[in-house]
Amino acid sequence: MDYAARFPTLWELKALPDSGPQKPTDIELMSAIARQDRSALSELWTRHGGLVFSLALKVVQNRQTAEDLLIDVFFELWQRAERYDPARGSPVTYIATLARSRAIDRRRGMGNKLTQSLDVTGPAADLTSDNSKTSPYVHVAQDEEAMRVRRAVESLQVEQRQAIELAYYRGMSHSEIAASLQKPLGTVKTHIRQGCIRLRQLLRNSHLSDDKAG
Amino acid sequence: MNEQEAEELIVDYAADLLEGDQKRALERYLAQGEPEPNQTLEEMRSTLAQLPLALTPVAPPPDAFVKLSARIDALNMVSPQRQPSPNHWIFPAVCSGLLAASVAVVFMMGKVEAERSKAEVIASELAHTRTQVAGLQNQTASLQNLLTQSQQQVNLLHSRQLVQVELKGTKDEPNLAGRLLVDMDKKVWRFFGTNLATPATGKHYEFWLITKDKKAIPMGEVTLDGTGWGSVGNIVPNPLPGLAAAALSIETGAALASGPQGPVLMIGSFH
Repeated sequence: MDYAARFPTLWELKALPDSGPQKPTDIELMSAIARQDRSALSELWTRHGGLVFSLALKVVQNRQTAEDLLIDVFFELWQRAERYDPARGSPVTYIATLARSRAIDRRRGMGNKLTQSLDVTGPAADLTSDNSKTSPYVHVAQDEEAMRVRRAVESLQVEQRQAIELAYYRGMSHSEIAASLQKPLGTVKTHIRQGCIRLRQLLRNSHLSDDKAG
Repeated sequence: MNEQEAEELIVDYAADLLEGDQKRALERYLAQGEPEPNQTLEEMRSTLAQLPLALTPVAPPPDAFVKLSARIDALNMVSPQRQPSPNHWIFPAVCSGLLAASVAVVFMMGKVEAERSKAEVIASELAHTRTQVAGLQNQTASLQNLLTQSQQQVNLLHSRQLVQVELKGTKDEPNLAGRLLVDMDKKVWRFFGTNLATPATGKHYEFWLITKDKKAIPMGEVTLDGTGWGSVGNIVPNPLPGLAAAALSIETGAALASGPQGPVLMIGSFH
């Protein structure tokens, strides 16, 4: 018997539709967490824990502190999920914003010692499309969203991207960014402003093209 | 402040870069409720909030969810679910109610105590089971992560136009080894390295491409998985310069366009 023919390869699995029960959306999970549903919290962790941990690592550059932050963020979600307002954005951007804010606070609390050892972020991010920690064939839409943002970030000029990332992930001021990149203050301000405006435009356009494609 | 001045400051404000008088002046302007600048601010905040979506998720430590569960359990023990409070109190009714309750409590005390002990045992077992389930869920997540990474490698190896570069450790680090896989069809690349020790605080592994005219291009920081494996990937640069070699160095601080500042630990040539 040809067993190989009876089972899909990993490669083919990616193309299979999800035959299980309908997965709750992130918004539904947030509602369930507000009702203190532990399984919803676990599912949200599975979907976005890797992103929060990655973000925390990028900001604080310390694995233990990043783990503490990850737990803090999800604990805060557990306690205050009802604060999430779907009208103001998707749950994942809400979670990322919360995580970034807490991580920057922690970073600032760590003082100058950490600031001295900064590295400028390299190319925007790790960009291969299917690098999510979640099941590769369940969260295709999530991967597509990530790829859309990655492509937009990658389209920025390197100087714009570096300046924006130092502001966003390191919480640096204009003058700190200028010192770190060894660029004039005015140039850094221009890079950040033009880069953000360009990023907004790129994301908006990609949404529009997705809508047309869909 | 006029509309144009506000427009120029909104990006900085959204990125938390505005301070002092400028920040206060913009906040006063925004508080006037003009729809356009407020909408621009929301859009800019939303744009920046999407930035982390470009990051590659990193699997959390396996026991992190267990710690979160334990923290929630502890919270529940300290502050059990709140009951809704009455809207108002009527003193006599309360007194008589309390009196009746006291009588009942005296009779029920023994039974309640026994039930409470049972409930405590069940709650303890439940918390233990939850911890075990959380641990299993994390193990599953780790395995899924491993599967995804393996699948990435397989996907790259299945490329119709695969470029491979073997990287070998330099004389200082002969045990290091790595491989760069470039899928020229899908325009993505990924470097995998092994035997990578966790770098000292403030240092990181940087992956480089070296062009034929000997310019070094920083390609990103290698993410380690804690077991000696590390990887970094990206889309293929466009336009792609003529490439001579790929290298890995350890850097302190910024990866400079002038090339590796720290020691080069691995290198391999494009054939």
